[in-house]
Amino acid sequence: MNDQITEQTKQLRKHYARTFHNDGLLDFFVGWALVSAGIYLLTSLIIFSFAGWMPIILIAPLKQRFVVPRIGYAKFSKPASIPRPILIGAGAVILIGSVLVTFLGSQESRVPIIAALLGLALLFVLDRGFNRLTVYAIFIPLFFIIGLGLKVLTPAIVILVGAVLMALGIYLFVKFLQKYPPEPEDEDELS
Amino acid sequence: MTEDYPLDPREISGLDRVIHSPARLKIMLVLMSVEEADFTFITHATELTRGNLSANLTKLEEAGYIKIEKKFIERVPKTIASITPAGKKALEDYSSLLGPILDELRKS
Repeated sequence: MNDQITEQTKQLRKHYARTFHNDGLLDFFVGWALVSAGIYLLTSLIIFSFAGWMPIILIAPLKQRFVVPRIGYAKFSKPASIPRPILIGAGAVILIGSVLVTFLGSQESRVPIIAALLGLALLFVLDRGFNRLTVYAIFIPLFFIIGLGLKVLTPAIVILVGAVLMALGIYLFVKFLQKYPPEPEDEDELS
Repeated sequence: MTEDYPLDPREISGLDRVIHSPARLKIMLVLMSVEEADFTFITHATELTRGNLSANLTKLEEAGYIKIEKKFIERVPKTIASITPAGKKALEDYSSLLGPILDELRKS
């Protein structure tokens, strides 16, 4: 294909993908995951190690309810980044490692499961190639690793960072709703 | 045309008039960037009015450059447009023809 067109379509694809995912939903759920992780660190209640990640299944229905009617639907071809077998392999290693740490390790060593799950999120966003998400996926595991390594990570700090991200998510979501009012149905426009 | 200035204006008449319209070129570029998109998305991406977009989509469909079909996306019926192989080729041909002309203009 013509190089000029290829470069242009690549730039446009990035721009559309950013707009499509600039609704704050992911920021909110990443924040919620951190708040849950913080509560888990505080209380050791196992429910909170899962509660943070379970609502991720709500993202697709919420996008369908709020995002698609406003900016429309588009299917993006996936960027050719990391080969899928490598991603799946790395994800499996992290997951199995997390499970072993959780069930065979001591109470304190369960904490790395949070970093491991965030590592899975990193693989996911690398696969999807979203910029802001990539930043989250890199900095949040670092936040945990460095915080735990230096023994300065307290549940309060984790909850605070999560709360800030949740607030950012809500702010972005409100801005998104204001910027993109619902569009009329398009059923008869193209027929 | 002189030998030291290879830009031949006659080549411009070979440009594809279906794609040459700014509105249709925008639509083609948007559809080239995604696998498929609905009317609302293309409206935002091209900043065309809904009526203008509808008319130009019809022209592109008639030329065989795009395909318009009804699909269920997450159980919601949508009218979806996507670029066809003929459309991709037409856009490439258009770029191949216009590109060198623009390059010559830049040099002059």
